[in-house]
Amino acid sequence: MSAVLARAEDLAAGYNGALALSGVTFAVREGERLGVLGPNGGGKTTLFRVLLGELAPQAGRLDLAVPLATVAQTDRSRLDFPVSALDVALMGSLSRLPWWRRPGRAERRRARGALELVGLRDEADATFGELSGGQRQRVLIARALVQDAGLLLLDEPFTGLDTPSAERLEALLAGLAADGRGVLVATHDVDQTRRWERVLCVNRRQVAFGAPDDVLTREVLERTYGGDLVELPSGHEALAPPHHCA
Amino acid sequence: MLDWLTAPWSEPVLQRAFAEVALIGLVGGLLGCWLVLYELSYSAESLAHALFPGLVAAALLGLPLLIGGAAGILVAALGVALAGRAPEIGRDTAVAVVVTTLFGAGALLALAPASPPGLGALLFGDVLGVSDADLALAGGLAALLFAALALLHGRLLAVGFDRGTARALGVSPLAVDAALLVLLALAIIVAVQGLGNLLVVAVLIGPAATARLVAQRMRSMMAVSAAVAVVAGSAGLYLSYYAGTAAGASIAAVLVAMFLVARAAYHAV
Repeated sequence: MSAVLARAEDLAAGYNGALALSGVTFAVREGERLGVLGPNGGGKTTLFRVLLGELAPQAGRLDLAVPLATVAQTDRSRLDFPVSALDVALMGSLSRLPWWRRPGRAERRRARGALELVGLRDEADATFGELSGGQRQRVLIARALVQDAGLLLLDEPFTGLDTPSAERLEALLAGLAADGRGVLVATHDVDQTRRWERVLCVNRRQVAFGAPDDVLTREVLERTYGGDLVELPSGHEALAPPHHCA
Repeated sequence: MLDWLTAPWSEPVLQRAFAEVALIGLVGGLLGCWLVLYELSYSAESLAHALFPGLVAAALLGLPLLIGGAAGILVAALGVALAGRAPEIGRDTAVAVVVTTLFGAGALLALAPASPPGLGALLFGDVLGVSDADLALAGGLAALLFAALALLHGRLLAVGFDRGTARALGVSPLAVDAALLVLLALAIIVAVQGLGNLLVVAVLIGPAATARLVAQRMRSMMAVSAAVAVVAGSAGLYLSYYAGTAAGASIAAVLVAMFLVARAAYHAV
């Protein structure tokens, strides 16, 4: 069986003494895409912050076997900043260089390689803020690759993307997993997670974790989203309405 | 025409003034880009005013301005922190109260009848009164600042671009902010001799604001900003030489004029 990249056992975390998320037990292995489903305020962002070390867990255990990188929603970054796609990808080398070293030729080559991998070779010198939402998302993924991360955390990366961009991103995530990386994606698209290897449902505590076929039952989704479920006539069981991470 | 351009250079006082203005321009133009992008323009103004009594005290005691500036910043930071804890006024008001109090105290000291004449130069600058020793000190501080900016470049870029994910990239936003404020204090100390405490912010913000209109990358923005600052500084000296106007104020006026021209050109394109 492939190696475990990250494992959480009965993890709990919160703010100002109040728990925002508890009872979280899961593992991500090499080559797995894990979808994190949950309502607004359900604890997805809290979980990400614990994984990134920004928030200390109040209980439980977290073991990380590989470096993590985060791919934030691109509207969190300054779109008016005078940086190129290559500049942004190069930021990924900061964590690997001692503080007195500036990124050199090797780092630039690596950053260009990462941009090529995400299909942006020709956009390397374009201004980041002038790229489309999907392209910006892929630049941030390239930055995570330059960081040499074994596990990528993506916070609702499909929000606001048109269909071709979303399909391209979906294919890129599949490629990253096929290369042996782990990909952890907070999303609101239940149908999408059916195509992935693992699903984690949270609503202030863990509702379920496992393979999509086992986890994505009507009962689990109702416990995850409460009354927010919408029936679809297309034969799919249920789809949660769009949410933004709290 | 050539005579007109070279005439001021024949005087040693003006040679030193041109060198000082070039140093101030490089320091202000380069650091200013980060201040503008970090939206610290008003903080730069506040800090410049708040460390004024420290500079005056150092001048009165015969100590280096650097020590006075450092002490002034510590007092200002302490004052803001203490006033910010008073629940009946907000942090914003607290900063304004502390800054105006400190600046008033500095002006009172500098302009007191018992104080030696010339301390007023700390307010409005005296670029023509720069000595070789002043130039050497400013040059040393400027070299320190250039080295720090080169070392911090990637980290400043990462934090300014997205503060939220900087930590995940191994960069501490708090450390970068603190470093930027220390560099700002250094730049103020370099520039205060030439431009004075009241006008120092013009060379920190004017060239960078102008460069931002035309540059698409950080490096080109810094190059344009430094060039604008040095050109405006020199042009201000010529203006002062031929029109008999105050040097610091002339430089500030040219900086504002260059920004307005760049802005008009930007909107015309």
